[in-house]
Amino acid sequence: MHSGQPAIVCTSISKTYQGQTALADVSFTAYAGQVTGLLGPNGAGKTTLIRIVTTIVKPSAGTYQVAGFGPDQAIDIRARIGVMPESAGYPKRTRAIDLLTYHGRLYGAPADEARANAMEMLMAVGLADRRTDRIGTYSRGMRQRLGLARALMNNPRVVFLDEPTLGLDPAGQQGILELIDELAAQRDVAVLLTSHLLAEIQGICDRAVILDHGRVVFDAEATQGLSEIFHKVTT
Amino acid sequence: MSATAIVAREEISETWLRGWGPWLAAVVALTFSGTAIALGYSSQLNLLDAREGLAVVVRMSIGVGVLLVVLSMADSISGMRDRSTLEPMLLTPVSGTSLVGGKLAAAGLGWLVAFVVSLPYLYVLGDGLGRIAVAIGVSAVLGALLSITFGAAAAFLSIRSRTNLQTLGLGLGGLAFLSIPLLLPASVMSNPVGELIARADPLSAAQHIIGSLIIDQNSLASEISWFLGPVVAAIVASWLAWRSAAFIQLEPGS
Repeated sequence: MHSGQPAIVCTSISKTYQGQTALADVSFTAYAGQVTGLLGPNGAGKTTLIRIVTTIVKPSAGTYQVAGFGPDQAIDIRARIGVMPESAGYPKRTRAIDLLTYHGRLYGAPADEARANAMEMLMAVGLADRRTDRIGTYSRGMRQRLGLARALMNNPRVVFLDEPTLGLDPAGQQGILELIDELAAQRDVAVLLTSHLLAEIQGICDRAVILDHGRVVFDAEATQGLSEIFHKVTT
Repeated sequence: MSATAIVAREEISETWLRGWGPWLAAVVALTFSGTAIALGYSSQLNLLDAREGLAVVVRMSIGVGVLLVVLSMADSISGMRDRSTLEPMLLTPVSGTSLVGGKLAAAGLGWLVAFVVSLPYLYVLGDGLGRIAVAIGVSAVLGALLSITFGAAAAFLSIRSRTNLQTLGLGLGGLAFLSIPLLLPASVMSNPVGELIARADPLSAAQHIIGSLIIDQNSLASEISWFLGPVVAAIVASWLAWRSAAFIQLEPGS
């Protein structure tokens, strides 16, 4: 997958839960080598959309392609994506290096290679010094960094980051956004980042998609009229 | 190493290196010690035959082992849902059957520990190598069958339940329900319907086998048909767990 090629293609995706519409006819494309922001107020359907295209929730209608694979090739998609879920938990007694090594092994890496990758990722997110500490002793910001490291363990072609700065203080938010920007540039991957904060999306995204009540109300470069539409949606 | 083995290894580390496993093994050993002292004292007073002592230890070993497996497996998927650790696992290319298979294999270690801890007590309480060998064989076969049955059933419930509490309630409730025939008087269970229930219920069948082979010293050939219930139960429960494991959902019904 080269820069500019479609990495995520959503076509008319809808999702209803017990009669409630979470997503309605959502279509958009995200490209390799770009950071695409998925913006919307709480409850707009951002997390549902991420869960659908990462294969863990089935859409009620519509289809998608991620890294060239469709919904029937879930294992192929999972092997090529890295995901930082919004509310991921961590085993508190496990050491960060062990968690990442285990995760790497689940992607088929031999033990030594997985451990070396884990160390590299921990260095990349600034947690190398705390690698042997139990995750239960980590702050929220450190857990977010660890989540980002876990999302990159399989050298993914497409990365999904669901509200990566949620619950962080301004300095922590800035730190994690810089890290994402840096990693996206270095690795030439497609990044889909969700947020309910306009400034975040404007700061690092090339394109933006605004979701409102499960519908796409904006899909263009992150500069063209983004603020105006977002303020309309949130007021 | 297969994905199942990787998951099993991690689960074993989580329980036995970083978790409550060693403490539990110590508690199990202490319980066996207390029981063995009481049984030994009763034997000296001729209140209890050595064979009955062996049967008590075998029952304890199987009971404790199965309980450990059920508790571990009840926590397997619904516990991950509760702790929000399921989503990152579902996002990996590991299949649901490998995930559940690895967890079941790791949970089986709980039974194995109870079985191994019981061996010295069987040796001390047994009277003759023949009897000890029968007790060890019965404990190994029935313990493995019941661990598979109840571990797989707990995994099935864990996959289908929304919360860990729901799984634990249903799992322990199911165990209690299947224990009912054990509490009924022998006269009730000796009629044809009672015997059918006892043969179909894996716990009652196991109780009968222990009594018949260890205490009454009947031959294996005469009692072999009683293994049918536990074997069928193990196959059915494993099939149910395997089928549901292929479709693990982040939230049941999502």
